[in-house]
Amino acid sequence: MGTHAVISPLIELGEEAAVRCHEVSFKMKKKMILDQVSFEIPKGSITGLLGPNGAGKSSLLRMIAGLSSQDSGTVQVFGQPAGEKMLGKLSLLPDRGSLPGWLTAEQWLSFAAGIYPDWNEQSAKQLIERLKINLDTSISAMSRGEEARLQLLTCLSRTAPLIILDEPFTGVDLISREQIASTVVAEMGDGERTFLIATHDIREMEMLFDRLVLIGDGQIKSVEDVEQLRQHGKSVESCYREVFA
Amino acid sequence: MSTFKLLAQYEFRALMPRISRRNILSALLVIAFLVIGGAFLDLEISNPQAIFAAGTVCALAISMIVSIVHVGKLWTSKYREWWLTLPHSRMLLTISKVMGLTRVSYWIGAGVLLISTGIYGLKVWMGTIDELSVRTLLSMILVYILFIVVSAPIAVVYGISLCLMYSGWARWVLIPYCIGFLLPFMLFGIIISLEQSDLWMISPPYVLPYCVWIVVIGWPLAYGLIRLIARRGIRSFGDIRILSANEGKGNQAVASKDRQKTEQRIELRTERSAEHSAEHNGVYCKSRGFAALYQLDRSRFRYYESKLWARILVGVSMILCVVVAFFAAQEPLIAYGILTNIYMFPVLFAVLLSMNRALIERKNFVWWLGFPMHRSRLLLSHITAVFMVTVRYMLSLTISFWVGVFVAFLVGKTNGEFLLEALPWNVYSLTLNIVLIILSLSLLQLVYFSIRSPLLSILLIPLYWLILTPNLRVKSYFYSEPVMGMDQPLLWGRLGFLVLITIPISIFCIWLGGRNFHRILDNGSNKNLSLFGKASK
Repeated sequence: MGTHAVISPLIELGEEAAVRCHEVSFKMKKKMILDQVSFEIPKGSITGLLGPNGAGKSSLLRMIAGLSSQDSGTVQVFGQPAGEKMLGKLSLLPDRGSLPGWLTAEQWLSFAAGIYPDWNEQSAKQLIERLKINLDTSISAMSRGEEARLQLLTCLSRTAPLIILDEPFTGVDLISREQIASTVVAEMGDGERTFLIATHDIREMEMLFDRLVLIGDGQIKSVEDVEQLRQHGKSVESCYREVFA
Repeated sequence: MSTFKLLAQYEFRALMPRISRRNILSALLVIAFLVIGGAFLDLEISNPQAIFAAGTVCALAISMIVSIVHVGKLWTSKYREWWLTLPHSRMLLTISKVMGLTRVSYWIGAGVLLISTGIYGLKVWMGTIDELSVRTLLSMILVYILFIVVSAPIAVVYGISLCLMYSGWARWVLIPYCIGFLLPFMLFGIIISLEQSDLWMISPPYVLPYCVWIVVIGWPLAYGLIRLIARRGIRSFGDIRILSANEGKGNQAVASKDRQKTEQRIELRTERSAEHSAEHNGVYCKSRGFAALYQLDRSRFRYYESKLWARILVGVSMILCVVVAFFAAQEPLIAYGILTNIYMFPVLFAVLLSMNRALIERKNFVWWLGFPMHRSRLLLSHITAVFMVTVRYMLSLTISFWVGVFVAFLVGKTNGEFLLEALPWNVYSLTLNIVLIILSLSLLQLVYFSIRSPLLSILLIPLYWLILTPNLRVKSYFYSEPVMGMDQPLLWGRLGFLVLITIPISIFCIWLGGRNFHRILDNGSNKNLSLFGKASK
């Protein structure tokens, strides 16, 4: 499975990519986490970053979000180097992060409204209902599924043009998964925002992706257009199995 | 290997890194730093016995702290439930944990004695203390090794007994527990200020009987405590979550009544303008940007301050302060001692809190770092929140002190002259400690810069030493010697100089820390990012 580079039509059209990674490498304690990773994510697309555990998905997303620095290569978000300054342009749902456990959901949302300058109160209201968040519940007392929904709410209530979801379904129960998936689908409807979703749970999101970036052992294994895949009679899952089986 | 040995070995390995060339080199560098620092520390120690005795007490204090932190971490550890489901008796689990921690304590003791020996050697070379004969030196070292061997298990058991005070009436036991925790620190202070004529108390012929008494009395008590921990303490680790005062209703579908309440609240939120948010349990956010972030950081402390055990601790400390001040008002020298030390514990608390921020807040960091703000502001917000909590506590102690003094004045135990002398001293001491908090908290932000390299991490050791022992520095440079009373001049000039250097140092440290704050998310799980713990992956 060698690197399957897709010549990006964006370069030809001169459009700005939402995310552009060029030969990004990152090593940690003598282990190569990312090895010459290069790909682009067009604006307004819904891209799945797929790969097995330990593929380097979270590390890559942290670099895009400016939370980590690469050893070499460049990472750009909307044409600007990724970093602290671009945090206002993206909304990250982190993997294995926790919200402040000493607050209730309502208290946290109250703070979030103050801290995020692009907070949309109307969206938050709708998402509270859709995701069935109990505002009185203390975050430390929430189940994993409920906290996952609250984290997603926090992420999607912002109007940032780039939404990054890192393993939104990890450890989440079936009902919560469906609620999360349907909520993400609803948010994607406007087509204005770019979504980058890292997951190894393909089935919930399979029908949504426009593009796939398959990463394994720190290398890009394949970049696929989902529509073209389907025209060839393949599914996202079958493509995944083909690359990683 | 028997199950017990295997478990004890596992507990030991969980805390001690494997011996490698890199670890040995790091340890030797740390020891060298501490030896040189200790030799030049102006403690006025003129007798070798005091060096070894103080070092021994230090080792026991560190062992106790390691045990307490280990238990504290265990409550939120991912492997806790796996450990609880091991098919062995609770007694076996407890004893193996004690054995593992005791083994770690022995390593700590060995390291500290090595440092003490190094300090002794350096001071002898510098000519500041008398040289002992080899036989005397060896016998003294052996005696203190024996002391550590017999007392380390007790320190460990005392540390892990914290798990007994998790809930219910047992939380009241935290008060004497905290006083007991301070014992080694008090002993340290007493030892380094012993007069020549009193040094017999820590001489080897007297330390040997102490060892015997520790074994005869302390070990049975420790064993009883182990049994209690096995029977009741381990149960506390079985709680699924540490629930807040506002217990939630779980992950089930929201009942219709709750649904109604939520819908009403949603309507209320949208009716109000974007500038106002709902008030709930006294925590609300009407602010934006940095102010909102500060309120978020502050809310964590408000939450813990609202806990009954915290209120009890603060209340008891204030009452103690009133009582002590009442009696101290009759003895100006004692009052002087109180005013120079009264703020030591709040400062230590603030410093320890900041030192262990990575341990306490590790799962929140990724959200904090995702806030669209300069990272220096993230650090500044945290520093401000810790500072405000600490200053509030210091002001509470100040008020308590003056309540005690006024009561003494009213009943005629003291006169107006004392009040006039004590007031400027209090203002001076309070101002000095406030500046020290700001300086210490700012310096601690350098820890994020130190993540860049293991060599930089080693430089944290002298920094931590400097910050954790402010009283040693403070007394030398900011209070007049010899102590004759409160009619001595206050060194406002030196305090002013401290203020002047604190401002640029603080700005620089916060700026440098901010530039490197994101490194805490690096997946270098073996980097020591807090004083006692390891950052989780």
